[in-house]
Amino acid sequence: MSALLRSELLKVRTVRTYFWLLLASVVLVVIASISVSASTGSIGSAADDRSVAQIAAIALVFSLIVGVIVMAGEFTHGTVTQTLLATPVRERVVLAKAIVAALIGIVFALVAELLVLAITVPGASLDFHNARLVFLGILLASPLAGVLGVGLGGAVKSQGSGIAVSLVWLLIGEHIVLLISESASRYSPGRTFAALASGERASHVLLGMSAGAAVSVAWALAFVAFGLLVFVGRDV
Amino acid sequence: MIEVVDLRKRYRKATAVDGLTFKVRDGSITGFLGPNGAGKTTTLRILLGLVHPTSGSATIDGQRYRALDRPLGRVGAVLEASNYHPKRSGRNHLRALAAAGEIRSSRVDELLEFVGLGSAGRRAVGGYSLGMRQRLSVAGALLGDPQVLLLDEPANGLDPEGIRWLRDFLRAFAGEGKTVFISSHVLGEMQQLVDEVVIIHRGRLVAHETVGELTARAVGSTRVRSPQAARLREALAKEGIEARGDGDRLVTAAPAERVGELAAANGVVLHELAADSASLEEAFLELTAGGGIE
Repeated sequence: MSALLRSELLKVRTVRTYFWLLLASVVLVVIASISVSASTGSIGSAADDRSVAQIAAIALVFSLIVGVIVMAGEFTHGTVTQTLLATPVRERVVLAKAIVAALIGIVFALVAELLVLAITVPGASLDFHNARLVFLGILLASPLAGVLGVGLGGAVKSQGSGIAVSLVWLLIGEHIVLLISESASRYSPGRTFAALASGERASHVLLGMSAGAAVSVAWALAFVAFGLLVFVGRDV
Repeated sequence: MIEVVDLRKRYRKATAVDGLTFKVRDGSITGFLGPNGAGKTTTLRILLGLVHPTSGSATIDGQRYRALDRPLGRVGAVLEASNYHPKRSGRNHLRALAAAGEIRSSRVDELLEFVGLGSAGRRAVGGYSLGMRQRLSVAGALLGDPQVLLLDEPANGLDPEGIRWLRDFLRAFAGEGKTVFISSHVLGEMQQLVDEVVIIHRGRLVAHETVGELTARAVGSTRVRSPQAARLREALAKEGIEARGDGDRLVTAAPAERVGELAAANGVVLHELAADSASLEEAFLELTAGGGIE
């Protein structure tokens, strides 16, 4: 497995796609953090601290996209053939890609959190003690989002459609679920990941952090299992 | 040994492979021929574990590709030339493949030099010509120094120099006692290269024999040049032999010996009498009823 991981990490390092995604994530986090610092001046409560720290959750969306590209990009560029010639056991390929996407997810989360801290601590007096659970949640949620993306990427045949499905779900699907049932929406993928990254207790719209973590893990595993099932059965 | 036994692959509306059975013996160069849609690519992809068969088996050394330990060290494959990330360099593509196959990375530079991409190796594959991509595919196939090579139309996109290079390479490869199984539409090239041919049509085996056996079985022709061609044509027609041609030239499917005897018996002067043996292409077209060649 270590050889396969080296191969997958090499693939990530030898194209610029992931660098551009990291850069886009950095730009959004910087803009959001500067806006908060400039508008609030200083943070008044622990809830405000958590709210500001949640800016780093932008990394989750990018980790999800990374996961989709790591997996579905193989179909988009046709490289899946070579990948499977070297590693014909498809389950191993998916596992390696899930690990790589999770590692990238951790990097994206760390970069986002460090940026939020670097900008908002001096600019708006962010109290790290109040925000620490948010940062921990994002550090857990970001790799899980990457893993979920790998599962989604295994189920679709192009990275474009995988990214489109992800964004449409987050922007529209989640709201439709909320409109249908507020209590059920607490278990939707977007809201469980939001719960994990919130650092908050359970509310009528979000699960608590622990429950959010458990359901997020379940969603990530479910997506990977589904993606694996489709990928294993597919003719290449 | 490559062994295909009662292999079938059905898609929703079509049957690509229909009860195909053949063996490719070790140390041979075997051509894999068939018209468009005959099932060649599907068969090769099933052998490589990329396509799932509906039934039957396709094995290499008695094992499915998926079950091979370190498959790149056992089997090299050259498939279509488009399966590269356009922004990744050829060298990095091979490095990733070598890492997955647990192959030393120094082998990458050796092979890039070997296939003539030493200077282009650090450039993005998106800027490669089709021929360069094919050479990169060959380098990828050789990474693990395999005993078996499977090639699907490897001459596509290669210039004459590249085709010659490929032919020389495959001969040298097979000369080491290794096995080559190659599909190609360049039948003249195949006739020069292969020991045996497996011909399939509509997913079924049509012939599996040596090139010599195949062309000997196929009907050849006899060319005749005579100042009395019209008289000779009449003499042949009386014996039920059809001849076609213009002026002093005739061509007939009858053996040269028979044509010569009839000419002598009828006092016809001959300026030329030549027997043309059938080519692989003619044999192929006869067997596949003239279907379009892929």
